[in-house]
Amino acid sequence: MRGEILTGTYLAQGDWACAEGAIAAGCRFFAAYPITPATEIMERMAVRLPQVGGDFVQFEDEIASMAALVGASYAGAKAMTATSGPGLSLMAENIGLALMTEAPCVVVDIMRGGPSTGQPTMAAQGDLMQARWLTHGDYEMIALVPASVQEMFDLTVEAFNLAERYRLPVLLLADALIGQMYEKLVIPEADQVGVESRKKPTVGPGDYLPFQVDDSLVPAMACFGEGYRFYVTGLTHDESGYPDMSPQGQGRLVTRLCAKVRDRAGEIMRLDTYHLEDAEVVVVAYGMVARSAQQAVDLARERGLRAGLLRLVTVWPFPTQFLDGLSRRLKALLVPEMNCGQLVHEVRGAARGCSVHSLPKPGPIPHSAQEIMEAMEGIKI
Amino acid sequence: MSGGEVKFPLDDLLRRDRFPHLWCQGCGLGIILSTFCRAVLEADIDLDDLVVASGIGCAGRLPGYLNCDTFHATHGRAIPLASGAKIANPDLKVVVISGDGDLFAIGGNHFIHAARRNLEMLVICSNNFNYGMTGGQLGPTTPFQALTRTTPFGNWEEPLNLVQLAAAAGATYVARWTVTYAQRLTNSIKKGLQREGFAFIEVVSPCPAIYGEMNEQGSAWQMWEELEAVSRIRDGIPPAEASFDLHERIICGDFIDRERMGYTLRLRQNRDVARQEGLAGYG
Amino acid sequence: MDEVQRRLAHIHIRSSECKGCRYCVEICPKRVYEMTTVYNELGYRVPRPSHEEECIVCRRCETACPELAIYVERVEVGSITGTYPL
Repeated sequence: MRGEILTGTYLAQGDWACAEGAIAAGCRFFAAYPITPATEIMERMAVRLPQVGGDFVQFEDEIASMAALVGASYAGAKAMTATSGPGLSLMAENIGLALMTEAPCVVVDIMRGGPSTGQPTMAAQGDLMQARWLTHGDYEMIALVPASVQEMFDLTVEAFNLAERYRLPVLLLADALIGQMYEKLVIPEADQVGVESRKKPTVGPGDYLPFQVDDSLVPAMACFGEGYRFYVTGLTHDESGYPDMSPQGQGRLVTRLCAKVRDRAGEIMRLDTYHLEDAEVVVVAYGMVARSAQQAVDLARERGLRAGLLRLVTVWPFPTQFLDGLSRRLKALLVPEMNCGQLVHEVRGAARGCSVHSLPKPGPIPHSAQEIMEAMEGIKI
Repeated sequence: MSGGEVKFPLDDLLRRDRFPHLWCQGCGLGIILSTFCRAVLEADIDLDDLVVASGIGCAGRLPGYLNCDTFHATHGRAIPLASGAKIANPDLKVVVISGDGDLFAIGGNHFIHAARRNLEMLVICSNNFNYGMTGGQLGPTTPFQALTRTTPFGNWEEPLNLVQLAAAAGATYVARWTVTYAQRLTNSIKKGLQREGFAFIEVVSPCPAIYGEMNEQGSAWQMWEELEAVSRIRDGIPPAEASFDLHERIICGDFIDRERMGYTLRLRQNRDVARQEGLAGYG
Repeated sequence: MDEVQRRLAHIHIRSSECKGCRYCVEICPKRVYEMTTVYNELGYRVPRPSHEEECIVCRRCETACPELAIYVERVEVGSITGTYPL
């Protein structure tokens, strides 16, 4: 039965689940460029979006796609794109534009081996730091990291809600295995899917300042064609939207852009914990690696080691305080990741109470549970 | 006679609190601004429906002076940004005003594809033959052997003919004017505003303070006189004949004005077909 | 006895916004404008319509002004006072 939200139980691909999650969240504009291993998201949107009254466009490159997202967002649409590492690199500048102009949108990155063209069909977790720092300047990013096909659906919905609530581009980072694999997916009834939309102005055009904020630090968003006749620019600007080249202006703007996420990090962050209560060694992981890590914790416990798992569901903002607190009652933290070591630096910076051990594995094969368990046992505690 | 409190006819279309504008003495962009406003008035465009986007450069500052929804985007990317807005809300009247470098160097690829799709927008290019905002570097329309900050020994590249490129890419309205043709330019902009399809107008615009100064073109008025002297109007000629030589002959006119279904209408057709085809399975 | 008023226009100039490019001075077919020695706050010499009575309201100055600083206001044409000789 055709509908906007395809309620039901499926054996579905991760990419497919992501597309359906977007539609469930109200996405009606999708602009992208084909790139392995994200193309299935695009192809599903090409079929579904016009059926639900939206528009799908394949643009000439990823740069255009991301620019189109900002334009569509400002025209009032919930907008998304899907790409992989090389495309994300191209999108960096316009993601910066979305950050600077506070344009809500969602960018999906299905991670593959890099750098450069790398291994297009193979998984990796090498875009972690890129997801945080991909464009120049000062800003905060929100990045969600699904570890299952179900989460590809659920976290895409969450990504849209976060984007609308905080007015910024939100990243969904999944390695190629999560994107390509098939698993059980349950799509709920439409009224079970919580959907948020951007705050609209409560004053008329004469009194509206596009970037004036209340305590939430997020400005109300007027859109094109609503009579507000506002000016938006990528230049540093003040509440009026006009360029502001004063020294104070720069500080005020970037401080607010960072604070609107940092101050709410507690509400934004999602963590999944497993056997943390009495743990002495905790694995910090996300995505496919976290699945192996969970098994590794079970194996370790069978062998008498008090192991636990902290699975990141959001990786940015990073749970610095939580990890610091946790580290004070642990002997060690282990960070397995499908790259040469990226997450470990963040963990090391946060955790001051115990030692931090890196277990990098550049991919495409994720760590096995055995590998992670042996690494835990190998830590001298 | 001073301006005093008298209201000027274009005041309602402008953000008067932003004046005087930032452009140099004699810059053609002010004339593009005023002809655009006049055309908007004559075409009776509702300012609440109008969205004007731009890229980076002196021309990129133009929308800042207009009293409507305006977006100053990244360098070269105003057209895809405007495309996203138009597709998401086809009721908007979308215009892109930007410079020759923004639209045809860094932005060239986007120009080509928006024209090919016949996306319903008007693109006005202020062509001043250099990158003025950053001090006068080479651009894609800099004349052969001209001096710029990055061609200190003379330019060794041939300039792009913007009208020919636009025509080849599939634009359904293509025109070229200079700022000295105020009335014809106003009419052209009005035509561009009133049609649905990809409309392109190249406006040859003097840059006396930078390009002119580097190439010893004299005062602003002398540059104006030279533009008038070398320009000829040849409406309807094939774009291949719409030649451009800054110091010899600039062919101006309305070259292309044809009908082709706009892209947002095609997307509507797509929706109809998609709904008829039914759900195409999953996976 | 008879007074025929020919003035067709009041020319308004926002002199504080002028950048002294001289387009109005040069382009006017009736030589209405001349440059003054007055400098405005921006540091440019500004013109004035010293022969406003010659203006034919062609508006070339208004359309050519890059600063949008000129408005040629058309005024009522002609008024004749006194008696008209038969």
